[in-house]
Amino acid sequence: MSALLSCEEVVIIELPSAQNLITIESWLSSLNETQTVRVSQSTGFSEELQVRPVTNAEVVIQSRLGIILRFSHTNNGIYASNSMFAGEVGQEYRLRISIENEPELRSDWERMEDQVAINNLTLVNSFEENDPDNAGEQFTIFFPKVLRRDPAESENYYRWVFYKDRMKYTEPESITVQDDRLFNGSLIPNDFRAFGYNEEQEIIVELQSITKGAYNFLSLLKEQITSLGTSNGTTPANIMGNISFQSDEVNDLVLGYFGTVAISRDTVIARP
Amino acid sequence: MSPALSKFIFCFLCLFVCNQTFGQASLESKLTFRGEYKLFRVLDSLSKQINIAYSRDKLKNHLIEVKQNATAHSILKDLEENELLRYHIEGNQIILSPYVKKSYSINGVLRDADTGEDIIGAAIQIDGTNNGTFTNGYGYFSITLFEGAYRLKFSHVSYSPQTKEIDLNKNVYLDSKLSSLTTTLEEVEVSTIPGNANIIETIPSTNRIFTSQIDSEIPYLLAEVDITQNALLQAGVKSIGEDASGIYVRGGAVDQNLSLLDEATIYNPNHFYGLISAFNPEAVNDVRILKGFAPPSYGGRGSSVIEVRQKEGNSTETKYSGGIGLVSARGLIEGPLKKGKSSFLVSGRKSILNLSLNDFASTSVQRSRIRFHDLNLKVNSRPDNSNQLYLSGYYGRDRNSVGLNSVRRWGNSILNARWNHIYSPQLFSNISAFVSEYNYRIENDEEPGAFIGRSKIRDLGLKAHFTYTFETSNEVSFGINSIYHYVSPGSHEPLALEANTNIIELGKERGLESALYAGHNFSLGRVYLNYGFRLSMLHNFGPGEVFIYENDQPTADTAIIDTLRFASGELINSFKSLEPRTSLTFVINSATSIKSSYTRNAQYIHLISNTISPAPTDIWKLTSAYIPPLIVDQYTLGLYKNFKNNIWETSLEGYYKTTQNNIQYKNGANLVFNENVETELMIGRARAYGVELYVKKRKGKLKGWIAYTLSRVESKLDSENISAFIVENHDKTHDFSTSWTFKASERVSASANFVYNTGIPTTLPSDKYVFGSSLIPHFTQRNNSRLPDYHRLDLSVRINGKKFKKDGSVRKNRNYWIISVYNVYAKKNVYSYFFRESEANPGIGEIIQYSIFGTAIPGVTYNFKF
Repeated sequence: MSALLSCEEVVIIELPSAQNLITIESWLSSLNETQTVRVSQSTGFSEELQVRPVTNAEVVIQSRLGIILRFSHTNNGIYASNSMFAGEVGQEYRLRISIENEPELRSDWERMEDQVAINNLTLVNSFEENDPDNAGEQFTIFFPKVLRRDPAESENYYRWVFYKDRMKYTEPESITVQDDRLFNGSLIPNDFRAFGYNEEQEIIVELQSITKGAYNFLSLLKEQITSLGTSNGTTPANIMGNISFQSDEVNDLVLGYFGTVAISRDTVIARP
Repeated sequence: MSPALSKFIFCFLCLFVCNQTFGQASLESKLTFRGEYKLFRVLDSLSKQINIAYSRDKLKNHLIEVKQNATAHSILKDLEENELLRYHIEGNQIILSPYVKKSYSINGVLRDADTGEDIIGAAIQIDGTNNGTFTNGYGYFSITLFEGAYRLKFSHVSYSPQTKEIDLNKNVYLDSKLSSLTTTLEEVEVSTIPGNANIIETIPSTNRIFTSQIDSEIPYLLAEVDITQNALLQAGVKSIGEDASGIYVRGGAVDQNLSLLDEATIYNPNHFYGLISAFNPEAVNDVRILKGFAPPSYGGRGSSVIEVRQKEGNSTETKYSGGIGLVSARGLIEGPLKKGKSSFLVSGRKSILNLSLNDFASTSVQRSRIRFHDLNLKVNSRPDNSNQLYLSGYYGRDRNSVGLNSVRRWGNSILNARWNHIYSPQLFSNISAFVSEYNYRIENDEEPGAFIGRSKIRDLGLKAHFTYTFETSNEVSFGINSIYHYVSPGSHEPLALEANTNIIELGKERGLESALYAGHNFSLGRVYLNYGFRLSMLHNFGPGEVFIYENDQPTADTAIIDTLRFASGELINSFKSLEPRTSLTFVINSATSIKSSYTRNAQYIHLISNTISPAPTDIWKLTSAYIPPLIVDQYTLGLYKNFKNNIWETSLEGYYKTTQNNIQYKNGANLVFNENVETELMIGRARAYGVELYVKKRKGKLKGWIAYTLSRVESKLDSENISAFIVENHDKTHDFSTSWTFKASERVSASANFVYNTGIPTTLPSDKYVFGSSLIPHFTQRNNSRLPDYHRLDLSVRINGKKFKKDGSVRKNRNYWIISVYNVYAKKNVYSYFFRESEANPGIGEIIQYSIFGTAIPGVTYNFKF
C-alpha cells in the first residue's frame, strides 16, 4: 500500500471578500494577576497582513456587584488591567468595549465556575525514543498524568493548559477541553500522551473550570482547526461567541469569546 | 319468397325425410344444401335431423357458409374452429355453447445451463408481439395465453437467446436453461441479437449490474472488481470521493438506500471506508438499483432500492473459484448436495494486508489500520417443481485501529430463510424470514475514561409476497412486510472495573415497521400500467421514555419539562403513511418506449450523522416523537430507444424529487452517546432534480457505455424561506462516466474507464482571526464554492489462461490475471481543502489542497476457477 501516496499542495484560490470583523479574546482568571483582553480585526484569509490590532478601544470588565475593572492598551491590541485582579468564584462578569464610531460591544454574563483541585500530578508512560540528532542514542519522553475528583453535584466543563519551561504548550493541540458527562463524580485519571516533555523540563499543568458556553465555543473552534477537510469532519460554519454590538442597526458578527476560568495549578520536574 | 329461402326449405324437407334418428351416421350424412345462411336457420334445420340444444340468447346469429358436401359434424367443427361456438356431445344430445377461448399457463424457472443458477430479469416474449414477461428474483415466470401455437423467446444480456415452440392446449411447466455468453463461442455471440428488455421493462430508472458479464467485471482500484464501484459508473449514482463511504442515488442521502441482500436489510454495505463494498462479487448473482419507481413490495427508504441477490450454488457439479490481489484473497466453493435438487455455496474473503490509509489519508485517520473479512453461505433445495427453499447467510467484520489506543470493530450479519411456492401456474409466493444485525464496538484504553462503546441495530423480519397472473401482461401482486427493529443506539461503559467512567446506556428503541401492499401490472395494447400502493406503519413500543420539552420544541436538554415513561410492550407512538406508486410505459415500437412514474416512499429509520461522509460508528434512530418520518416523492419521465437491432441501447430520463422532514444538524451537534439527540437536530426539506443520459453498446468486440447526469440537490430548513435552498455536500452538476471493454482475442481483453464530474461543494473562508495561539478561518456561507472538477482514467487488461490443452481437449481449470492502473495520468484530484497557518509565514493563512491519490496506482489480481 506504500504506493498509495497522497498529496498535499499549497494553492491559491479566490476567496469570498474579507469582512474585517471585530475579534475579542479574554479569559478572566481566578488568579490575582494582571488580566488581559485582546481586541483585533479579522483580515482576509489569504491576505499577507496578519490580523489587525485595534488599539483605540475603551475596555472594562464589570461584575454583577458593580465592580469595574478598567484596561489600557499595551501593544498589538492587547489590553492589560490597570490593577491586579482575581475573579471571584460564583460571581458573574461581563466585558464591555467601546471603539470609536462603533456602538458599544458587550458580552453575555459569565459565571466564574467552582475551582476543581488537581489531586495528583505524576509522570507516566515515559518511553524511549531514538534521538533524531544523535543516531543510536535514545532519550526518554515524559507525559503528565493528572488525577482529579470531579464534583458529583454539578455539570462541569474543563480546559487543560500546559506549560513547558514557562511557555504555553500549543502543539499538537492548542485546545484541550473536557466535560464530565461521561465521568461525573469520579476520580479521573488523565493521561496526556500528546504532551511530551524531556528530562529536567518543568511541567506546569493548569486545570481551568469553564462555563458550558465557553466549552461549546472552544469545542467548535477545535473542530474547525483539526477536522476540517477530512471525511469525518463536519461542514464548517460560523462559530458564534457571546459578544455582540449593543445596537439594532449594526448586525455585524463579533468573533471571539469572553470567558471566566477558575484555575488550579500544579508543577513537577520531568525526572525518572 | 326469396330463392335462397325456398332452397333452404327444400333441403330441410329432404333432411327431415331422410334422417329421423340421431347417431354418428346422421352426423356424418352429407347435407344437400350449400350457400350462405344465418346460423340460427342452419341450426334449426340441423335440429330436425339431430338432437341439438342451444340458447338463442347466448349465440350470435352470424352469417355462415355451408360448403358443398358438408355434414352436420363438419359444420359444427367449422363453427368451433372459427370460434363462433363450441359443441360437445352428451348422451344423444349435442350441446352448443358460446365460444369462450380457453387459456392456459406456461410457468417455470429459467436457469443457467452450466451452473443451474437462477436467471433473474430475463425477458420471455411471445415472438412477433410486444407481449411477454420477465423472470422474477428467483428465476420464476408465468405467462397465461389462449390456447394455440406460440414461439416463446427467452433472452437475457448475459445469455444466448433461445426460442421454444409450444402448442398450448394445457398448462405447461417449463424448466428452461440458457447458455451463458461467456462460455459460448465467440461466433455464437456475434450471431445473436440482444433483446429489447430495456424497452419493455415496466420499471423505469433501473440500473442493473450483470455480474456474470465480462463488461460488468470492471476492475477498479488495485485490480479489484467491486460492485459499488461499478454502480458508481452508472447514471444517477454518486459518491463524495475516494475516502468517503456511502453512495447517493439521485440526490438522496446515504441512509435513503434500501440495501437488500437476499431480502434482508444490510445496514452498512462497506468495507475499508467505502473503497470496497461488503458484497463479495464472487458470490453475487444479480444487482439491481431501482432509482425511481419502486414496486409496492419495496419500501422503507426514501431514495432507492439496491437489491443484491447471492448465487444459489452450482446444482450440476462442484466448482471452486477464487482470487488473490493486493487488497484481499477470496475463495468460493459451490456444488450440488443432491444433483439437480439442492445445492450449496460458501465463499469467503479476507484482507491480506493490514490495510493502511497512513500515507495518503487525512490527518484524522492517520495511524489507522484496517482489516476486514466476510463470509457468504447459501443452501437451496428444490424438493419438487412447486417448492424451493433457500437459506442464506452473510457475516462481515471490519477492524480499524486508530492511533495506539483505540480499536473500532463493526460489521453486518444476516441470516435469511425463504420459501418459494407455486400454488397454481398463476399463483406464486415468496415467504421469507430474516435476522439482520449491524453493530459496532469501540475500545479506547486512553485515560481519562478508558471505555468500551457499543451500538447495534437488529431486525427480525417477515415478508410474504404473492403474485397472481391472470394472463400475459396482467398480473397482481400483494403482500405484507413486517420488521421488528431493536435499536440500541449506544452504551458506554468502563473498559476495566477500576476505570473511572460513568456507565451510559442510551434508551433502547423497539419499533414494528409493517406494510401492506398491492399492485397491478397490466397492458392495454402498447400501454403498460403498473400501479399500486403501500400502506406503511411504524409502532414504537416500550419500555422507553419520551422527554417533553418546553413549547414542544426540543431545543436543549435544559428545556425538558417532563418525562413520560412507558412500560414494556406499551405503545409509545405510531406513524403511518400511504405510499402510492405508479408507472406508465408506452411502447411506441419494438425499439422505442416512453416511461413515466410517480413514487412516494416513507422512511422510518434514520442514520444520525453530521460528518461529511458517514462513519461506521454513526447511530441509527427510529422515527419517534421528535423525528418525523422522511417522505420522498419522485416523478420521472424518460425516453428509451434502441438502435441497430438493439445493439445500441439509449435512454434519456428526467426526475424531480422532493423530500419532507429531511434531518439536518445544528452547528457542532454532539451526536455521540447523547441521550437527547433530538436537541441537536433540525427538520427541513430537500429537493433534487436532474437528467440522465445513458448510451450502451451491448454487442461486439467493443462493448461499453456512457453515462451522463446533469443534476442538482439542495436543502433548507422548514423555518427558512424558499430562496434559502443551499446545495448539498454531495451535489455534482455534471457527472460523466464511461467504461469500455475490448475483447482483443479469446485470451486478452482490455478495459478503460473515464470519469469526469464537477467538484463537490465546499465552504471557503473569507477571513482569518487569532484566538489563543491558533489562526482560525472564518466562514460565511455554507457550500459557497466548489472543489476543482474531478477526472480520472483507469486502464486494465485481463489475460485468460489457455482454454485448451496441448492435445486439444478443454482444460477443466480456467484462470486469469487482471492488471490495472488506476488514475493513469496521475491526476491529483482534490478531495478537500485544509485551511491553516503557514509554517513559513506565521500569521498568514494558507490553503492546502489535499488529494487522496496523487499518483497512478498499479494493481494486479490472479483469479481461478475449476
